[in-house]
Order: sequence, then C-alpha cells, then structure tokens
Amino acid sequence: MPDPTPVNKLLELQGLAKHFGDSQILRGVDLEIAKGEVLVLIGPSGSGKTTLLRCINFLEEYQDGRILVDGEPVGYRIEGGRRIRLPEATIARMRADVGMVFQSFNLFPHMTALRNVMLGLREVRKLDEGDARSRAVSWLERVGLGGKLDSYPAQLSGGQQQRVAIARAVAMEPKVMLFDEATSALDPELVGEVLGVMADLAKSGMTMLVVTHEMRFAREVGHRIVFMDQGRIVEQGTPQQVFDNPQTDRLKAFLRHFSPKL
Amino acid sequence: MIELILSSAPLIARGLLITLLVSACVLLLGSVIGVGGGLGLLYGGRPLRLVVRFYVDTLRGIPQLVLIFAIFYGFPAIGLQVSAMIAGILALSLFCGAHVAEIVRGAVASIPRGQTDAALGLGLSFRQRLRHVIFPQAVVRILPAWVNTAVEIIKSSSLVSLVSVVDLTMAVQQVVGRTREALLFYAVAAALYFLLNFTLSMAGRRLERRFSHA
Repeated sequence: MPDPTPVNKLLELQGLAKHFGDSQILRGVDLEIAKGEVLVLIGPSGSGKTTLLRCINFLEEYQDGRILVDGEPVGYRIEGGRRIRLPEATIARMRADVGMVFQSFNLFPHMTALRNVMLGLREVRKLDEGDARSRAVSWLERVGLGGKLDSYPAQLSGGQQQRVAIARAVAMEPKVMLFDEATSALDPELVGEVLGVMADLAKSGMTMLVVTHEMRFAREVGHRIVFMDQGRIVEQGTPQQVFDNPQTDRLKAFLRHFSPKL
Repeated sequence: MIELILSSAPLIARGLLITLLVSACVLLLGSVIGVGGGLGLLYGGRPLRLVVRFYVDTLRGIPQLVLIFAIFYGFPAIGLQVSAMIAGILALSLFCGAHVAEIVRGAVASIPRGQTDAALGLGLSFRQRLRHVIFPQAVVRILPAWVNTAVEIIKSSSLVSLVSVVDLTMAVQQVVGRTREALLFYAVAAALYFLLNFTLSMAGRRLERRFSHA
C-alpha cells in the first residue's frame, strides 16, 4: 500500500486520545515531527506529556486516533473501520526503532554498564558479540563513560546511570528518541552532564521528542516548543515565540513559575 | 551401642536415600509446577489466572497427609493404580508447586515496573524479557523462600512413611521395632534430618550472598 506520508515526517499523531477509566488523559492530540527535529514538550504535571510519550512506543494503549512512526502504524491497524491490535512481534520491532529514556533510568541492575548497552544489540539487532561490544563501547565513550564499562548501575551516580541509559537507547540506532523527564530524578549538580549529552545528540541530527522542565535547555536546544495542558496542545511555536511572546493565559501562568530561571 | 548402630546402618542408609530421592523429585516437580503456575498468575489471561489461583489457594489449605491419602487411596477408586512412592511424590509436588507458584509470583511482582518498560522499549520479546531481565532479578528474591520451602518439603517427606514407603522415618521405625532402642534411633533420625536441612540452608545462604553481589 503506497503511503501518502512524506518521508521527512518521522512521527505523526492524529487525534490521539487516551483515558484511564473515567479520567481523560489525552483529548485528541495532533502532532508532527520532521526528521532531525528536536521538539520539546512542556506543561504542568498531569497534562499528559508522559502518557503521550508512552503511547508512542506503545507502553500505553490508546483508545482513539493514530500514531505513525516513519509511516508505520503504532499498536493498531485499521481494517474496515475497526482497530485491530498488531502482533507482538510487529510492536516489538517498532519499539526497537523508538528509543526511550526514562525519568528513573531503569537500567538493568544485574548487568554492567556495557552489558546494559549490549543487550538490545545482541538480542534485538542480532549483532555478534564483537560487533555489539564495539558499538556499545563507542557509545559509552561518547557519553563520557568509557572508564565505567564494567561498573554495575548501583556503583554509578544518577547522572552516570542516565548517560548509560541514553547510550543503551541510542546504540539501537532508533529513528526517534523519546526523553521522559530525563533529569527530573537527578540531584541538581548532575543535571548538566545529562543535558549536555542530549544537546550533543540533538546537534548530531537525531530526531528527538523531549519532555522536560528544564526551560533553558528547551530554549537553547529545542527547534519547536509544544505546550500541553489537560490533555491538549494549547500553544506551540519556536522557542522565541513560546517563551518571549506567549499568547494564552495558561502558558503565561505556566511560564511564570520559571521566570527567575529565564 | 556402636555395634547396634552399625548393624542397622544399611537399612537406615537405604531409608535416607529414599528420603533424598522423594524430596529431590518433589522439589524438581514442584518447582516446575510452581514456575509455570507463577507465570500463569502473572501473565496468564483471566481464565488461566483464576484456575491457578484456585489451585494455589486450595492446595495451600489442605494438610499434606490428606493429599497423600487422597491420591494413594483415592486414585485406585477411579481406576488409576499408583505406587505408594508415586502417590507421595505426586501429593507433595502439588503442595510444593502451590507454594513455589506464590513465591515466584511475589518475586516477579516485586521487580519494579520500570524494568519491564525498559525491556519493552528495547524491543525485547516476552521470552527475552523473562530470560535476560526478569528471571535473573527474580532468582535472588525467590531463593531464600525456596530454600525454606525445600526444608519444609524434606521434613514433610517423612509423611510418606504413613503409606508404607520405607524412607528414613520408616526405616528407623523398623529398626526401633527390632531393637527396642527408641530414644537412640529416633535421635539418629533427627540428627540426619537436621544435618540435611542445615546443609541446605547454609548452601542457600551462600548462594544468596553470591547472587546479591551482582
């Protein structure tokens, strides 16, 4: 089936809706991300940012709308007007192409930093031991952890753990990277090293969707800022437009919390 | 006294061997049932979960001796001939499996949700997630409780003597019957059970320490 989606549209959400029981978390979100674009999602907690991210690699099911990664549907296909859940293998293949970094790192505690990065390369990308190792080592070096290959997560600081988690995700060579409040669980003095790695990735042309409360990072690294509140996109634009000339009262009120930092 | 013990030694040794054999079979079979049951409780569909839940809760509430009698005397009534040994192993395995299922379920459930998220995020399949992410972390949590269960099972294995399997308990009973030295030989039996279980507990503790380093 020929797909009308242009190639440069890497991620597309159409009317994405999600509820847990009675509470509506996402109320019809439309969003497109171009290849190489760095999109920063901001908004008060409970606005649906994290849920949106989790829907994109199908860690959460959604009830309505569509998600396309590089033209491929996520989670469900539509057939004769009905949604049919895709087979697990298809979902897993899609997930391998969508890198995710979590607020709480989620490294595998029983594996060294090196093994954490190698696992997906060996099991999902099917690289042999040598290739997986050299790719993992080069990514760990790139995030500044070439000296910590054999350390277990418990022996690393939060910032180091998060950098391993980023290396683990990027080493899979995903089409898009999702960052879910990657620095929120870190001590303030460790935030910088993780944001530095993320900025470096952005510069290298990685397509990124970043949920963060770090407004300085959003302004400096983001190509486009999207403000969400109560499950909807309220306002979006370039960093200058959003931060310097907010249009809606809700965004103005939200930004006021950060004014000393800007 | 030494002479008395020596002359009974072969019979007691054979009994000990049967106790070891019964216990090993029960622990093996029970663990297989338990891992399967635990996974059923965790990942099964609703009907499977209900069935396993019923099995686990029922079996844990029935005395092991009743289970052994039910199989040994009950199965022939429905046309299934089982030897005393098989009946004992089967009954205790069902009991052991129910306990292990609950242990496995609890251990896996205590692994943070983020571990599964991360494994899913990498695109690992269900089997890969279990093998590389969930089981290695679950084993450390399962081991202490499993060793406790194993100790209980070795002690419970003496119940098979009541359907006339000549295990350690039965062997000692026979020796006592012949020699009238009840205190001496029951002390020997107690010492042997204790040594067996003490060794097992020690081995478990050492394994636990080794795993927890990683």
